[in-house]
Amino acid sequence: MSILLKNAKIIDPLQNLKGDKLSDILIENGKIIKIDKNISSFEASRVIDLEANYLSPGFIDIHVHFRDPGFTYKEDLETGSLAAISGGFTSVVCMPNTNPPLDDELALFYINEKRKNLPCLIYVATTITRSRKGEALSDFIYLKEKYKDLIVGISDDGNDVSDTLLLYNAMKLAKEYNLVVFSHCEDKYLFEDGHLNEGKASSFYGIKGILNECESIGAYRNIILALRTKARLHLQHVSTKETVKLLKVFKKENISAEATPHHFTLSEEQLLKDLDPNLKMNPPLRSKDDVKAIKKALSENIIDVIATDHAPHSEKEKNISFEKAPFGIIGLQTAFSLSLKLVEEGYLSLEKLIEKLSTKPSQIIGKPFIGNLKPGSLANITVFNTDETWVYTREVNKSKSFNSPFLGKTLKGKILKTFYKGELVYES
Amino acid sequence: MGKNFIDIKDFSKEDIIEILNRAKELKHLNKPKNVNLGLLKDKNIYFLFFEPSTRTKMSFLKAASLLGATTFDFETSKSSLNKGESLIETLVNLESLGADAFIIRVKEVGFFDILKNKIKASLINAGEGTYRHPSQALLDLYTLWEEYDYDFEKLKNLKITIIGDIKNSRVARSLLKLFSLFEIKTFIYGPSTYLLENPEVYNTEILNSLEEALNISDVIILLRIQLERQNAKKYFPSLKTYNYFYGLSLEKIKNIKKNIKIMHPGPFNEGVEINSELAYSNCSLIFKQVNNGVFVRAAILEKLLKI
Repeated sequence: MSILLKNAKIIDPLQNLKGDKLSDILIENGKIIKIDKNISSFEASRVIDLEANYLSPGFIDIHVHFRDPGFTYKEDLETGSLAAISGGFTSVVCMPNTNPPLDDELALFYINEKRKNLPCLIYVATTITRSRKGEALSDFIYLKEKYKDLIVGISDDGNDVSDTLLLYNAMKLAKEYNLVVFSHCEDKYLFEDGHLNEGKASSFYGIKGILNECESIGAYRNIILALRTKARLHLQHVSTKETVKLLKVFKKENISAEATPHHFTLSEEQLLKDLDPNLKMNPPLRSKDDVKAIKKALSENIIDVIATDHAPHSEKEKNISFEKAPFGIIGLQTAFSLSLKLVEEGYLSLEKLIEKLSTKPSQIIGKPFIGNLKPGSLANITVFNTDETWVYTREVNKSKSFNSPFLGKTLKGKILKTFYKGELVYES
Repeated sequence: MGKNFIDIKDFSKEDIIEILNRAKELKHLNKPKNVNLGLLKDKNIYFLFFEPSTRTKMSFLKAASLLGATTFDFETSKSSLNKGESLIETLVNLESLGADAFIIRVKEVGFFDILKNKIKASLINAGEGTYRHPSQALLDLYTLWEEYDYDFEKLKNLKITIIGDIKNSRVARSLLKLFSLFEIKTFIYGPSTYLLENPEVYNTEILNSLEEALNISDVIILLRIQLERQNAKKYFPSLKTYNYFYGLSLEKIKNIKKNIKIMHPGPFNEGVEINSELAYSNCSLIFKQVNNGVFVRAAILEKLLKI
């Protein structure tokens, strides 16, 4: 089975393709064969004209919560995958805060079986500590050995590992066994039971706030441990200017960082207008200065990756008081449009954006056969238009949950087609 | 040579060679069982073990009885130590009761460094925290010397790898020091959380894989993994996983061409550091180590106490 995609503006940062001219791309047996100016239609059994739209390697989201097993009323592997491909994502890394957590052998077996029939590539981070309790090392080196292709790293996401000795040793073993440490940076004592940014929002509503330092203190500790152990450390959802400053000073090749679209799109000012539980996430929406620092950090490559922290919660859970509502919003379908604003505002070139959505994430998780369009790589492909607008309606939403502050909004930049292993799995 | 055996360094290389030769003689003299040579018949030896011990204590007791010394076992749990008397005061008092030697095992590192200036009797270290266990190292060297035809030149050509929790092992530290004295090349290997930050202080190197260890070593010394210790589960997740990645079995060594020797100071965890098939195989020197302990320790006692 071969497919020829014609007339695309192809962007592949790894091959220095900037999407400035029209080319064709030939796919066979789920893999990229070649990119060329005019590939003959006779070479393929199926030809699709992409009508001068952009084409890039499929996006890779290294931070999602698919809630499966255990919380499938929020999301499951199927609905999560549908949301992913609708947003142009062909690979995701699932965080382990499921029930049972993803250090459970049966849960890993279940995902490993199930992922074979899904329209996108599923990877997981197993836990750092047993059941994410922060007390003892989880058996991640054994689990990695058993599920080599499935597990790419370790994380207690949602919690930091407060016990520094435990984290230090986890990093040593992660280095030894080539696992990425996905780190949710947070000082749990400083966190207390905050719900939103310590600043304007907390001052105004009298709701307990979460200090910027709550993140940056954790980030500092985790960074210096990574410098000592040489473990691959990835800082998740960086939200503060202080953490950016730390990265600027300390970042080495073994350290990377991500920002979420909501953290560079919205600030706590939004909360002053509307105490919407769909604006509640951890880390919280920060000040305007923080938002600016994150954008700048993305443009200066201090933050390498855009990841969604796609965190579905049911309407029943979210439609309660702000203080009682759980943290997190969904983000797979809005990530591209929100990120495109960085291009409009001049923070990133379109090529740089693709690098942060695809090239860099593949390098962080060490998967050279995705995140690029080189011959032999998987034909995971996203086709998009940067001018077209669309409305994020409930009908368009593919997640099982609806907890997004962007629901009902008109967004610019549309995902037109998504190919997974050479198959058209999504079309708008 | 002084009156104490606290550290490998208390003996010169020549002293150690003399001790090994004497141990060999004693082993032959003991051919009829339960011999009393009466060489130390006027000596009083006090045993103070503040940590549990089977092998080391029994082995020293047997060594003392082979030489005809009188032994006293100080019951550490029922003593005045519980009334607030310091251990050092206790030992000074015991000395005035006529002790010629103290054989001591303690938890705290640094105990002997203070004690040695206050006591005239011989001090013999039978295990000091995570730092030193010199008599174990000597008996392991003896076992190798015996295995390699009593030829120190052959020992010099060996490559020895210690695998396990090096960080917390007094046996490993004493062995590394002793092998270094005898110019034997050593390596260490284990989970990264069990290795030394600066292996060069023991003149040794860290290996990168079990495969590498098996390929280059003539002798592999395994150490007991203790996950029951406090905080142990912050260093390594489980015994099952230890066995999977770092444990040895006949299966894992079957592709090694040369005749590799396996040692373990005991007590070994079957199915953790070593699978029983291998422990009871021809490669294993484990049971020879236990047997040799008596004669090496007798030779040490004789060397220190015989005027």
